[in-house]
Amino acid sequence: MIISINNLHKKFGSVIAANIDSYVIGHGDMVGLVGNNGAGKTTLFRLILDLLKADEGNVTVSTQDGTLTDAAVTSTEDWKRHTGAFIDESFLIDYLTPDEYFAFLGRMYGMKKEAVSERLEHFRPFFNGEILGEKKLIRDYSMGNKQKIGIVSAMLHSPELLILDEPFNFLDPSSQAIIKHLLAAYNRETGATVLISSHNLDHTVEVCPRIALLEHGVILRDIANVNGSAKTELDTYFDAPVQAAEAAETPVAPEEPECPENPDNPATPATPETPETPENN
Amino acid sequence: MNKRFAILLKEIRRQRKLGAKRHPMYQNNKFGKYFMYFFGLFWVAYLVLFGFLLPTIFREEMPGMEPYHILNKGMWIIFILDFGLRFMAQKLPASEVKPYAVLPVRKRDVIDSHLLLNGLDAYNLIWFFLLLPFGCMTLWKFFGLAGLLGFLLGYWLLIVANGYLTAICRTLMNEHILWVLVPIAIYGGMVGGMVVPWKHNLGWIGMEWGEGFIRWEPLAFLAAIGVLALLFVLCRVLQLRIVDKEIARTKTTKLTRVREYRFLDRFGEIGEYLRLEIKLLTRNKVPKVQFRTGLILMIMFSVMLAFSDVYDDNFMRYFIAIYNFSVLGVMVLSQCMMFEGNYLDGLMSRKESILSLLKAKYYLQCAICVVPLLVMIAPVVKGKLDVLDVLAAFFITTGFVFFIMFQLAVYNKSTMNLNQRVMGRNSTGNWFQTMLIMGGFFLPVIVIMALNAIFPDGRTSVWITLAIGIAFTLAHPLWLRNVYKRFMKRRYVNMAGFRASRP
Repeated sequence: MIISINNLHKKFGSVIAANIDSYVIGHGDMVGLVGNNGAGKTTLFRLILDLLKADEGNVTVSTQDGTLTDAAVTSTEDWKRHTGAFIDESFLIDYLTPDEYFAFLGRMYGMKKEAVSERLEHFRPFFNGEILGEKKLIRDYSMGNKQKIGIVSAMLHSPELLILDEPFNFLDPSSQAIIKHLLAAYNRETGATVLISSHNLDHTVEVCPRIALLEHGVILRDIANVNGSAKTELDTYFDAPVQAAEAAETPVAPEEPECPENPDNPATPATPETPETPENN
Repeated sequence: MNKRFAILLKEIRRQRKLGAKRHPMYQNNKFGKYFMYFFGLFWVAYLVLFGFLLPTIFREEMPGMEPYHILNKGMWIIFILDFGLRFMAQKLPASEVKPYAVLPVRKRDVIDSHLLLNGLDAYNLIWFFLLLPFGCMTLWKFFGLAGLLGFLLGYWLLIVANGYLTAICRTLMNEHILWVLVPIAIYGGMVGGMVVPWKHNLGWIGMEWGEGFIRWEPLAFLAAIGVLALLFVLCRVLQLRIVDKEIARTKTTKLTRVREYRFLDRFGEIGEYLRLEIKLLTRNKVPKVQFRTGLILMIMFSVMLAFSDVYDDNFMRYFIAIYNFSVLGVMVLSQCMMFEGNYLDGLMSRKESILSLLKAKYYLQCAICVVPLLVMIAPVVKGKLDVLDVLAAFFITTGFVFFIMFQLAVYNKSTMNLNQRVMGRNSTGNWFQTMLIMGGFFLPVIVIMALNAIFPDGRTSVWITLAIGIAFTLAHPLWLRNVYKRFMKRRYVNMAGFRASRP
């Protein structure tokens, strides 16, 4: 799916949450959104998913099969069949068990029961024996397991556009490793457009060939991440305020007195004369 | 009282005041705020009026006794009413300990502070709006100011004690619903104790006790203080017992069996949402209690209509008939979409899911109307209503009443907690919601009465009502789609509202 962001503006009071003149995400792109808190990552996702009204501008989408071409997300709901997203807990129907929730979603997207079961098998290592087949409501799971349920619910129907907000949050290290692999494989095998946001630069750089750096709603940089090349640029950007603060704190060392030049060897400063002592005389 | 406790007490008192000022009922809802002020003033005025009227009423009805004796005999009724008023609004001390769990304060000090402040709360003086004018009119001439003050002080002690008793009952009931037998036994016992035909029944005890307060008899006050102290201690012990549970509260819903409701598979996407609706009603505390309450009210009114003469005039018969069908639907649909506010973002990311959801809600509410249809057999058999009346009430509900109530799906934008009754938060009604609820209840009856006035034969109006009901019922796909389209037009405003009010 191609996503075109056109002159998109959104403010909350005096705070600018989105200020993007033009940005295009192509078919099969895997883009990582990074930025500090309040940069506008979640706002951008909500604008793309038509969960928030822009003050100005629009987001248009074009599907791979051509059924939608430059369709504004606000004007039609047809793009929703091709989209899977998980932003936060409010996406989950927490009084269902995970099995019920996946079955519900499967039916919403026209998947047969067997297809849902087959698809869930793919995610079994990710669940780590904790989620499927338990008579436990989603609300009674830990944050980590809820996160897993949310991520899988977004991917269940193999959408053409996958949007995940901070997918690595609350996950243990093994699950983080698994999801990185799953997302990269999903993008590679299906050619789906994947948008993720994360505070974890290492994970984002490892997984996303393209990284958008967001600050105060503006996409400051669109970085092509070839073999992790974006890491240095991102580290420099995010370390800059810390380094500036350190520089401001470090006291300036006093200047060393200039030594007179040695006429025989200008590179070597002359050895100062040893002052006369009475013994020498 | 040591210094640290005094500081804690002052701090908790300050926070309670802030909490009351920042109550969710008032935060974003000016209408709710002024409605509560108005409701409070109304209740106070009501009590004052009764305070002035009761002496006259008592003298006329029971001329052989002084009015204050009669009130004292019936003091237990005040405690029963007080229990009812406190039940929903009172916060339990154990539930207030959590924010202090990792602070250097003792849990028992927090509980003691809350218990003390509950006792000293201004709410305990609310019955003075009744007792003070009553006392002035009946006691002053015999006992003067001293008698009046003793009367008020004694009642205050017992009302505070009743507050602790209410807290005990609520705490127990929170642990298991079977503990409801405790307040039933205690307050039911009060009623029984008053009416039992013994010379020294509870009414006699109340009369003597009240007299003791008026005459400043030490035994009366000692007994009251004793009861208060006992209930305070019992309440304290109970709160301390459960406080660790409250802090670590990870109450999970135990599902012994996961029902699939496979019969709904044949209905496609709407069947899916019907399944979701049923699970919403059966697995979440707030909608479950609402449903149960509506069902009880419906059966209660139906039985009263069938077996008593209380509702034998035309207006009340039609009102009860329609009320029976519509009470559940109105209660549930007045909060249409508010439960879904908890997960609306997920629903909105799927095409036309809201339309399917609205249809499912409608079909479920129509199916639920079959229950009052069966219950109304009793008044039909008793001749209070005929079959045509019942059918007219059924269709006017599934058509006209639900048409009105579903309009709230467009305008409701506060998320309602699924499992926790937060006083005020779950009744974030605005004036529009209140108007529609009133409309849902009263408009059909007003229409029938108006039609009766035009067609006094009594049957034409019922046929017209039936026709209106059937027309609106058959037209449900049109008006549901209209509701859906208007909801989608307002979706950003609603989603922002749901997001902002999510717990």
